[in-house]
Amino acid sequence: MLHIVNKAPPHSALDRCLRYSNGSQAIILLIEDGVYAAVVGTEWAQQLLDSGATIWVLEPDVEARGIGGRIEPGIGRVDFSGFVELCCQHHPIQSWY
Amino acid sequence: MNTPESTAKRWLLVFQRPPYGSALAREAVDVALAAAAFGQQVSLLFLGNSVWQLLPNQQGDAIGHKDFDRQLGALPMYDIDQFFVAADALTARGLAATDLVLPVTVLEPAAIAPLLASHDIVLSF
Amino acid sequence: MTTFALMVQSSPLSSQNATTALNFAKAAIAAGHRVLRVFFFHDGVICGDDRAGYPHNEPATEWKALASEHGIDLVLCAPSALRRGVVDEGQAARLGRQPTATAPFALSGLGQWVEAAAAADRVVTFGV
Repeated sequence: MLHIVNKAPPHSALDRCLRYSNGSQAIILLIEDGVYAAVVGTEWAQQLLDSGATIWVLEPDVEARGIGGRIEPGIGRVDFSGFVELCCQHHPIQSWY
Repeated sequence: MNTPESTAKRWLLVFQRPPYGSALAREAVDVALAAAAFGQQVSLLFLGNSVWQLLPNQQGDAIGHKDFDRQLGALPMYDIDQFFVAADALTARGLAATDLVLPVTVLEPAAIAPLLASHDIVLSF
Repeated sequence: MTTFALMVQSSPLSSQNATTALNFAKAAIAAGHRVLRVFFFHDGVICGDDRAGYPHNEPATEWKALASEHGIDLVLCAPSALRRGVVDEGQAARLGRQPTATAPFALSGLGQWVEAAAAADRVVTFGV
């Protein structure tokens, strides 16, 4: 299933997403302020990688925040059409906030 | 208007907020009631600070609100009777299932993902 | 083709999610999918309030253009809206007030959300 996180860490939204999603089977999409969790070298990016989940960030939110050059290389980038595609491919969709 | 049986789906409403700090928790209960009234199969999952919604002896009138525990306590009368709570959300707050106003099923963290995945519609509040 | 029901829970000022939902809806339509209904709930009803924003409620204008062009239902949750003073033409006439939300935004009950969510292939909540 797809998990969407829109809050910047530290925040209980990311904590709950990681605690209650099932590791390698989970797809996690970071949007809005949630994209800050993908910044390379942070404990949150490391937690995301360690979870075994497939991680994506929403590119327009990354660009808007000036962190395009700081995203952890192991994290994929999607635009809005990619966001829609992830929603089509995965079910159900849980938003964490 | 009644939703035909063929479109009845399994709904899981995921509550994450404490009861009074925002209207979201109260308005979410309206969604649960509406879905049940339209023939949908509705379950509730309480995570994080939303477990505070389930505490008895709330006196909402002290701040000009309806008692949240009574609102939730009435849900079984509206065909909503599946309530799930994360075990770690309770223990972190010094609560036990027996403290709560509804008969809840307590789930270990690892059981939450399969619960989410077993529903057609997952809504967060 | 996939069908979507979207729930928007915040006003355009208190959260980015209303804008995210709008961009999501545009991308879904561009990819050939269908958005059956957008249900504005909780503070999300402000998205349809013409009084919000100055000089214009730009998100409302964009939603209206998208909805008119692609036949998307824009429903403001009636209980949420009335609590926040948001009324459409029908409710305004009933209450003897001026409307604050205009077509294709319309107030309706939670049944409209239940119906859309039950009918759609995918339900996405854009949260507070």
